[in-house]
Amino acid sequence: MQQTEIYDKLTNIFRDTFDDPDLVIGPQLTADDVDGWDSLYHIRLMLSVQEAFKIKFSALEIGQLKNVGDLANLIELRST
Amino acid sequence: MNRFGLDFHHLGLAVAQPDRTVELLTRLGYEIGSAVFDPAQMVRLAMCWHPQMPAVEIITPSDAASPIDRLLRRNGPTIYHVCYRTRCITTAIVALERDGFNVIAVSEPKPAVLFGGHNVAFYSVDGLGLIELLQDPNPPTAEPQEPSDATDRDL
Repeated sequence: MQQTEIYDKLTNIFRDTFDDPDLVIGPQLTADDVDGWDSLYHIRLMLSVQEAFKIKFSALEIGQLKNVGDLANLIELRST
Repeated sequence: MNRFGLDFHHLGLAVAQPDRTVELLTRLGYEIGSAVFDPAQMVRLAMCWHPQMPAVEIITPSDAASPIDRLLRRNGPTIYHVCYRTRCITTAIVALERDGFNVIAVSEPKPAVLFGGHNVAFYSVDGLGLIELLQDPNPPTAEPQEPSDATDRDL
């Protein structure tokens, strides 16, 4: 799966999760940059990502994510 | 001890203002521990112990934004996590995943002021919800006691 396709899909997930149709995501985006990205929304986001991409992350993998770029790279890695 | 190496430690109770909670728990027979500010989580914490009932951690937001702000706005006072003590957080998580439980890391292990600098981490586990894991390589044999290095008595 190409990064552009991953980001397109992630954008929809983020917009739906945070109820913000204008939310723009990029590799450097972190929880500090998004209003409402707290622990409970982080859980919801990760569950949505796993469901949308039909992949399952380990807790260790999720714990090592520093930004959306890391998330996209992990999805790409696990999708191949 | 169970197959995951988890021992119940406390229930995490989020409240906007602790006064009524402290009053009620005191009347229930709880011993209210000293409150501390945890800069890693930007919340104030106080452990409450009872000889027969489960320990309760009172969590209140600080002046700055905290992880429980939205939760409190949405739900009001609520028990929102269960804490388990474990000798090794990583081993416990691997054991849960090995048994087929989906585990989502919410926050990586960080030293906790309230627990003598032992690492705590938060995870979401399907079928259980949000859990806190307190890593204590040498768990005490007696019931846990209030830490002696509390720095702030005001919630």
